Amino acid sequence: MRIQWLLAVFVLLGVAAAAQQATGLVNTNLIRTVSLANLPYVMEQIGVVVQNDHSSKVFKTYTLPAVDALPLSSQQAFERKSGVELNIVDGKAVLKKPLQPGEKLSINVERVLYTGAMPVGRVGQTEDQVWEWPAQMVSSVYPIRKQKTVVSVPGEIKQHVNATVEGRKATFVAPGVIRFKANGVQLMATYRREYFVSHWANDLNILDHYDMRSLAPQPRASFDKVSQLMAKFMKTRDNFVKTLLVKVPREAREMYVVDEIGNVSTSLVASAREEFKVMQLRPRYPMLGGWNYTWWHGYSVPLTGYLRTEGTKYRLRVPFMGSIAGCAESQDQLTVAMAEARNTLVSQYELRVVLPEGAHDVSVRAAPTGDIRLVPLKYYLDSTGRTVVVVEARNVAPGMADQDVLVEYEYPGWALWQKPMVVGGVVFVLFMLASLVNRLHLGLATREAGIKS
Amino acid sequence: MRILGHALHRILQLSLLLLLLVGHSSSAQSLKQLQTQANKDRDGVARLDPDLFMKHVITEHKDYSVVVQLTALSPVYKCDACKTVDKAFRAVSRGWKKQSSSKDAAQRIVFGTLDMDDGEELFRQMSIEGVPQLVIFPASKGPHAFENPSPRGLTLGAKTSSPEGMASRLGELFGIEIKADVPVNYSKHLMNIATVAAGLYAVFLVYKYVDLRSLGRNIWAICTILFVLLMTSGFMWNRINEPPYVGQTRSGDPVLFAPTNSQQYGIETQIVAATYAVCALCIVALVRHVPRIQNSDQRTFVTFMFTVALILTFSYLNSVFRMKMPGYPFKLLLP
Amino acid sequence: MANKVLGLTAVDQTSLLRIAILGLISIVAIGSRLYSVIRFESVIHEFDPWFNYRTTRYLVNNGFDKFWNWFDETAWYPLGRVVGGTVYPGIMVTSATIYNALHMLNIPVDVRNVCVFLAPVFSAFTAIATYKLGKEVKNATAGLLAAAFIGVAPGYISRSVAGSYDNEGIAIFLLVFTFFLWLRSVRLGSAMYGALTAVFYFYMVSAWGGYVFIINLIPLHVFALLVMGRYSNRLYVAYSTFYVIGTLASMQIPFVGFQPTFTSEHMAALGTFGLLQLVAFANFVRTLLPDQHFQILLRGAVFSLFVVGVGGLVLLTMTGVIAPWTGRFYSLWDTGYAKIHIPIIASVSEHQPTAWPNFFFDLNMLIWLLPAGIYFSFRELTDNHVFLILYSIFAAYFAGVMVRLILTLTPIVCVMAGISMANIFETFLNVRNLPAVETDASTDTTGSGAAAISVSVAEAKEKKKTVDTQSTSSGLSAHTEAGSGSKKSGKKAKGSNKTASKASGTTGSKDAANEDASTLDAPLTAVTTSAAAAVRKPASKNQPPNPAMPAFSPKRLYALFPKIVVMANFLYFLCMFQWHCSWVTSSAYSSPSVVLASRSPDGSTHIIDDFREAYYWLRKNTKPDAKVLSWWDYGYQLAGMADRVTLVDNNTWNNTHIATVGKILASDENTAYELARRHDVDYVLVVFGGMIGYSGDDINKFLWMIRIAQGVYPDDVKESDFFNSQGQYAIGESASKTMLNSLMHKLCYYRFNEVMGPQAFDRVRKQKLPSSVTLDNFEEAYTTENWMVRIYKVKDLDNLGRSHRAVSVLEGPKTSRTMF
Repeated sequence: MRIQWLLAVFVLLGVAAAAQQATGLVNTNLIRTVSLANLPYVMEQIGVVVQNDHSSKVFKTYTLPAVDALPLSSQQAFERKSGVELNIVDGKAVLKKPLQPGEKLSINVERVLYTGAMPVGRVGQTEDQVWEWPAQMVSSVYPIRKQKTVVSVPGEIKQHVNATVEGRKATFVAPGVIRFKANGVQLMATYRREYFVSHWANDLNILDHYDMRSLAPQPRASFDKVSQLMAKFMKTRDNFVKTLLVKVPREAREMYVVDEIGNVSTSLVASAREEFKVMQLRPRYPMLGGWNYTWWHGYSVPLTGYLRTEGTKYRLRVPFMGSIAGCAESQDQLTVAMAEARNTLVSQYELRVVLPEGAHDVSVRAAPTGDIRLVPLKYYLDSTGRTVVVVEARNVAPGMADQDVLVEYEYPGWALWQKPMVVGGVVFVLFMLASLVNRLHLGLATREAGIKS
Repeated sequence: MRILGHALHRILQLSLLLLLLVGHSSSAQSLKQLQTQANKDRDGVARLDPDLFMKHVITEHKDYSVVVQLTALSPVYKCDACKTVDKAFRAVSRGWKKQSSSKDAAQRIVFGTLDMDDGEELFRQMSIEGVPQLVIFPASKGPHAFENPSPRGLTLGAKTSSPEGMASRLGELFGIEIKADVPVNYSKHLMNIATVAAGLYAVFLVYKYVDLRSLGRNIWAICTILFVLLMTSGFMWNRINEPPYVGQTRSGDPVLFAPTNSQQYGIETQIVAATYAVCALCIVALVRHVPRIQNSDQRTFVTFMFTVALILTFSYLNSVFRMKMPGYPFKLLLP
Repeated sequence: MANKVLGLTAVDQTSLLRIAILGLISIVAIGSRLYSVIRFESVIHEFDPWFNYRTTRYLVNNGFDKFWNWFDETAWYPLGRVVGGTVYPGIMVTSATIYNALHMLNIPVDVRNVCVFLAPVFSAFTAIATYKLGKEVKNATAGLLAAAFIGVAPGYISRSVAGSYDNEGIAIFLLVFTFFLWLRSVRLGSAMYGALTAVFYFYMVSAWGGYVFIINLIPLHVFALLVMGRYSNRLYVAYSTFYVIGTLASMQIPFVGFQPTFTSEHMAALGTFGLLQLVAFANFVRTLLPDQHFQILLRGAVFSLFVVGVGGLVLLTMTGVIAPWTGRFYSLWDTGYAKIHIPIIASVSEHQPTAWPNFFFDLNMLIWLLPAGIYFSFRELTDNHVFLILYSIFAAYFAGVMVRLILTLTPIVCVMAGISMANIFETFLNVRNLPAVETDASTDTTGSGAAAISVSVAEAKEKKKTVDTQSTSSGLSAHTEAGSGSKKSGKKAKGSNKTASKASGTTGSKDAANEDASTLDAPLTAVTTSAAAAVRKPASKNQPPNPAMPAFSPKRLYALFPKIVVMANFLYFLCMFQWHCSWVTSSAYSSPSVVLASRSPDGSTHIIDDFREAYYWLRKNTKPDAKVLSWWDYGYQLAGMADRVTLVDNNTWNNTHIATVGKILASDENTAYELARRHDVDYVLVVFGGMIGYSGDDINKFLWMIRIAQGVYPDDVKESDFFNSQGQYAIGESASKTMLNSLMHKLCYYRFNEVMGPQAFDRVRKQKLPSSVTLDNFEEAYTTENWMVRIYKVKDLDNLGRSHRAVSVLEGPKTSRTMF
């Protein structure tokens, strides 16, 4: 174990040494503070002091230090003094002003990583979950004079390898491992959100489709109904995810929860604060580690709050994604904090904005991430069909729930009347046909013949 | 409910015990005794008494198997199952008798019956909870010996209570084919044929001589209506489930209607059919009869009469239904 | 001359009214079937519907060809099932067509909703079809009443509430409509209607096994007519067209195949067909022979042929040339048959005979209107009425034998009731008539029906005029038109004649070509319809004062009084009927049985959704090809909701397989484990009601499982072993050893007493619980909220090849047993 770590270090040093000739930049001091407080997300901040050791060279960019191959969901870099954000071009931060020889600059890098922590073994239904986090050293293309990593964990630290531990903080100067208690809910979801814009009803219908999985450690023994009942009875904790909380706007109405085989009748809505309500969804079955649950819920809100118009030009501004929080408590003991907890990883996300029929010249702005497509769709009684804006993203950072998407489109006034016209026309034609057929006299015998017989 | 395992167990104990008591006679002569007993009976079923049973049925070393029917046929026990089983059993035995003309075969299986009246205390000893039962005491030696000569019961299901079923089951047990001899009910067939013929002839006559459009029509109408009334008032249910004609309370006074809506007594059908008929009659009268009356006062009176009759009958039906189905919320006049 | 309302002539008023009424009836029919959707949700009910739903989904997703030769290997593992060849595809194709049509119109509706609402919508069609039938056999009044009756009759609702997505849902509509078409084709003798009948018959064949009823009843009708000496070319045309096309078409359904050529269910039709040809030939001969000779010849021929035919049929059946009757069908005739030979049929409650309360429950007052209707049909005995009578007789018999066949009885009962009611209405609502007039009006209606003679137009006009003078003012207006028309040129006369005939809702040509005079009173009835529909205002408002008698003389009121009383009485009956129907529907026929509702003491309803909880758990948390063993009742639901492989399901085609499952559940744990592994079962699912008192659970069904298993494995499973020494069917300590060791018992009561406490009771059996139940070879996989469904995993073999018992003894129980 140790050997490997050392090896790793040597390799890294080697890389650094190789880099040294190439560039004159040096990380004189590097402190990395990692917070495992809200797994499955890992928040890390790297404060680094950069010095230009080169005699003559001037540096316009700074290649950010990497940690390891963990998928990166978002990262930002700031100059510490001024606090201005540096924009990042493929892993290089573009410095505000070039770094002259001998000059020092301290930069903060803030990242959200996906969990590097993994469960230790299987647990019983009511036992504590123990997680393991392998601490690795920061690597950079520039030599690092000295660095350390400070990790703060949610629960007590059970074991650690070459770390100095006080309380819930562990400090590493060399690669190591810690094992700690973390009973928080951790979920992973494939998530699809659909907006249906209806100018007729002045209503924006929102549908959230979740494909959810509990990241908690697998149950050790088989499912144990009795102990589950006992935990419920005695109000002691167990590893079930019992409720899922969804923040919805205050004016939301017509809410529903459905899964593949029908309504999920056990869910209710509580108004939490002035600005939002909370839908409390109870899955058909409480989720143990490794169990899956698929469902979709929806509601609609008045469109006016989201739509700006200038003549025939409309500007739709909607949240990029919704938020959901799992929690282990059953419905009677819920708080707003739980509703705002961010414990659900969205590994794959798809956003669909279904525009009304007749909308054209669609342009999408300020989609925070992901790639954007426009696809045609025929929906309720459409004659010409409508446009759907599709945005797809992977490993979305939790902050994205607060960001917006801006969709602009042209919507002429007559388009509002297209549908009724078409439908009415068709019905009328059918009616005419029917009456025509009715007047036809089928049959071989003519009337006269008929009467004579 | 018959609990075979238990009974058999006791029989075994008994047989062992008996070995000590009764110095066992040679199997040949015991067989002879049984057969003589059997030949007294026209179906070849040996009527056993405790003594015979002990000596020749529950003996260890016998080269013949005995199929014993434990039953209670005397009417005091009111055991219908016994009768059916007995019928089947005798049919099988008869069949065996016919079939086993050869000496050897005849010695294989002997059919015997042990009645409650003869062996009551024996029943008690064997602690037999229920009759009828079919117990097989297999041969322990000789050509047809079973590898496991302990007595075994034959469960009497709906199938095995029928002659064919029982025969086939026993056949399986002994590994030979046993045919039941079911008496062909010629008279029944003849009757059927006769009725069919008569019916056809009647139809023919009606067709030939009676003008269907006038007189015949009423007859047909009446027959049809009667049939439909019977059918719609649960006649078939009675035929299949054969309920008692009238129910009885603890104190023994008659009850016309069964309390639950899934049961009914024989008489219910008739009452209900009658009420249907009366209602229908009122309708018909109102439509056909009333308009013909010329005198308006009389017509008014008759109209009222039939209306009232209709209402009363229907409400009676309704109340009966309420009685059978407690939750039923609607009522008409009568409670 | 004609007094108009909203610029409509009286004729148009009546037809408009009729349409409006039919529309309302349809709405009521649909509405009263939506209780379950309103109380619960739009969900597929019960068991068989889940299979239909699944197949429909398959059809929608994979298209017709793939559906047609779909081999479903997830059912009856390891045997599989050839679905395409073993279903009546009618209902699936229907809803798939509807689905596709809607999607073609860009109406994105879910398959489930199409399936859920199919039956109610078709019930509306049924109402309309019944109206047509009633109109065909009597008049519009009867038609409307019959439609109203069948719209709400519980006997039909029981099979067609929203969500009960089963063949009967559409079959009844087809049944009624086929019969309507048949009657019309007989009356008109039109080949077109004959062909239409055949087409709908084909549809029926594709939809329901009950088509046998049609293919036996129609030939019977024909035969009866022949025997009554009512052969006509119309009959010949109608039946020949129908039989040939219908039979050929029906053979296109793989599940039916060549049966029409050799099974005895279809022989009657074939025989009648042959007979009809002969009679036709005879009639041809008649034209060449003197009459009296011919009569003798004919009758002799008919009877000899009948005897020969029947004899031959019996002979062939006995010799086995013709396939013997199928079990379910056979159990209709020999009622004891099923009891002995087919426990699987006997075990199903809906195959039991019918006690009278069932009839009253499902048909209420219609049941005593039926005999009256039969009587009236006998009064005017047209070909149609002969049919009605035959229908009532047979439907009544079958309904008496099997509870579920009340379904086929309901339509005819409704029609008959409609006829009786119509008669009442016509007699007592006809407020304009004097008694004297009234009588000959009624004799006219009844008497003329019987006489089947073609009337010349002139006569028709005569009659019409007399009728007019009696009919109420609106009718009057209509026909004075006709009358005045007749005075003018012939061309005009035809036109007015057409309008007059419109009143009777029949096409112009038909009325002219009419052969029996029964439609002559159509105008009268058209009016009485509007009256019967209790919307008499337009008629009564604008009556010209009648010179015959002043509008409101005391004498007149006195004459009216009894009528008013009678009508009030019957209207009240009708109301009661409606109440009864909606009560029955809401209380008895509207629970999905997938979702249950329980009332808590404070009156609030609490939804019990354990089934779906369990199925969804299986669907999401087991590997897609996991084999789930359960009793056959849950097979279709498992396939539909859990989407997993099942061993047996509700299509009980393989008794042995079912018996095997029964044996596994009935035998002790180790044997069961062996068997389960041999059938590579992964999970075992049992339904247990002991926690909340759900009486339809597996322990209560257990006896049937044992019986069915015993039927096939008499040596391994013995019913008697499951009763304790007192002969009771106990589950607690007093239960028999075999019972306590049986897998079913163990799986149901595993660790149950630990939550309920030592001296707890089973809430269904009301018995004390067994003390402690241990499992070695199975482990709990999931148990639902109310313990109603318990799923167990069949353990894999131990790595060291030890028995699981040994392992558990060595390593001790996994979870502490000291909860209380």
